[in-house]
Amino acid sequence: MQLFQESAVALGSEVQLTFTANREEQAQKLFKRLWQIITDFDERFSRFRIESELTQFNVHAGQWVPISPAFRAILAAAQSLAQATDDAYNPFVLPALQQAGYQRSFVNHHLPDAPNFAHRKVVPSSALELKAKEARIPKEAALDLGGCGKGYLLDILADYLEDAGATNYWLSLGGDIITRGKDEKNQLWGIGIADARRPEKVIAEVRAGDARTAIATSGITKRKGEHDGKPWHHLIDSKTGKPARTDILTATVVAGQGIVADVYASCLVRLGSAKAQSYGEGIIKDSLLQIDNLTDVTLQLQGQRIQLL
Amino acid sequence: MKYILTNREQLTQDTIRVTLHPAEEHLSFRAGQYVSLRFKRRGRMTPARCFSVTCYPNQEGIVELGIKVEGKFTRALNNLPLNSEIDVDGPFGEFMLDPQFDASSVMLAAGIGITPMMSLLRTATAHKLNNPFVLLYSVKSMQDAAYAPELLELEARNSNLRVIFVMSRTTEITDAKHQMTGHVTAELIGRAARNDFANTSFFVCGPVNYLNGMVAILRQAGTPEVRINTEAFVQARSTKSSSWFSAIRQQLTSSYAIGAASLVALAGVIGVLDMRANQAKAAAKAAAAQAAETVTNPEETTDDAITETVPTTDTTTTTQTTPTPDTTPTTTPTTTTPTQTQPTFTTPSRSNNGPISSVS
Repeated sequence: MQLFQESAVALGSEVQLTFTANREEQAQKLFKRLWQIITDFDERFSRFRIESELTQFNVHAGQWVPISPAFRAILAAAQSLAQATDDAYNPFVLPALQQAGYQRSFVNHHLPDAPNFAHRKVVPSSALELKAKEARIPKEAALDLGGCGKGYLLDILADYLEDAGATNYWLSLGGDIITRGKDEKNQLWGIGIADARRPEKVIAEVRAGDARTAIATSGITKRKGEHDGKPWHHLIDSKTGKPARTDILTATVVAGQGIVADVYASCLVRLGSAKAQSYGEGIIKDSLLQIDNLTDVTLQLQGQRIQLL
Repeated sequence: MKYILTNREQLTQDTIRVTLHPAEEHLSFRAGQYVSLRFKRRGRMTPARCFSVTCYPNQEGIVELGIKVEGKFTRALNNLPLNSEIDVDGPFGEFMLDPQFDASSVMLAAGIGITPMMSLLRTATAHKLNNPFVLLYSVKSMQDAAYAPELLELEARNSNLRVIFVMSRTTEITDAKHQMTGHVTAELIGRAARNDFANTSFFVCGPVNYLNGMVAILRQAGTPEVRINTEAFVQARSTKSSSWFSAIRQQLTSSYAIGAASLVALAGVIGVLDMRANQAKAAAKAAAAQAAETVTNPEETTDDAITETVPTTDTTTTTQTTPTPDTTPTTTPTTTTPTQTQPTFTTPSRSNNGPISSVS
């Protein structure tokens, strides 16, 4: 068994694909297909692309729009998790994101500006009407799949690899990770967790088991900026329509599915440390919070509060 | 995208199977979709023509098409040397199966309209879907039944599939289990659907007159619109003027022409045009219902053969072809719980080049 790895910038961040395989030829075929799946996903669901199915769906808000099976699947997944989190995660936050200032991709600056929906408003996730082959959202609303897309895609990529017989892998989409199995030396993968303020430094490690494991880290330290003199970050509180006020810098969640890890990581950040500690019990395997209360940095893992320095 | 014509074989007197391999990148398609082709002829690129993909969506990006040779474009394609380059664009179309919603399906195909059904059935078989399918394939005779051997092989591998060839121009039956003479009637469709028009999905593909007739029958039987999936095939007539423009003009009202027209539009509006094609298709369905055309059956013989062997409908379990994560996180996952060690905090053990989870 050999270890094969490729990386590239996609989905607005660095993507790393790693797995073990017997032959390079087999690995190349797998890589080719994985990149194709990622490209297709981006072209179909990016809110930064005018021609994407998502953007066109938003353009036709208020109407019943025929949707592809793939779009229907991710919409159903997003709505299900939004309801499970009582809209702490809500895919309808796009207007608020754009109002706050997050209007262009951090990476794909060459893309022409997608339509601006900042004049629309945030609505409850229940406003999404979903039929077998068509869907409708209120004309004053607009959807963004950024809060669950990477996790969802990780599950698809993992499914593909496993269907192809590759059961030892780790895949990273901008720091959201899914793993299974062992490396070429037959050791379990170790997943490092980056320091919130110094991403090059690893402060903790999770060693996943043989089964598929997803790890997602969300936070307010990366996708942020300033708009009209006001600072913003990308984790919108759907109840206020503004960037969430939180004392958490990053939250890392370990779960069985990529989409669950992705959604709950961002929910924990939005909730803040007081509520995050008990949130999602029974759904999240483990969580790790990096909290900034201006005096210290606290880690919490598996219910234990551990003070560092 | 650049593709190479790697194989071509005769299926029937006027139908060929064409196989294309990607030259560099390849497009990824879903079962039931179609692509457009262009190639150089006498130094100039031909206009685009659209054809349904017949093969199973595969990792290598190989595209297989079934093409009826009856016009300038298709004759030129039939004479194109192997290893020639072909521009392939797409995929287009929404003639696709939703394994959950389309839990039980009847496919109505006429002539070359079998092509999108081939991809759907091959995919359903490969994915071992439990969904039952009945295919009523209208042909003049078995000599005109493209993909007949493949269809019978699929049926042999897929216990949920039933294939019936309905032959309109012959009385000769060589396989009583799979052949009948006459035309597709409302009663025959009803038997295939177990008279459950409300919960059976219908996939209809073929010439416009055939399509109109089938849709009229389905609507009269009370089939909900959302259960009727159509794909109209319109072939351009060859003209003495040898004008590619006139051939294209004749196709302007076809759903394929809309897909082909998107090639000359900016890449950014392709999705919009495709969506409009679907809306036009929905309008065409409504128009077809207004101009109902009843298909008569003067030569019908007994169709007892189909009633005895229509597969048992089992709509209780389906398997999705599109990977869908489990999105009901209300209980602890029942898959094997990974064994986790306690993390190290000060000096993490980095024994392998594993990933780092950071803010995405």
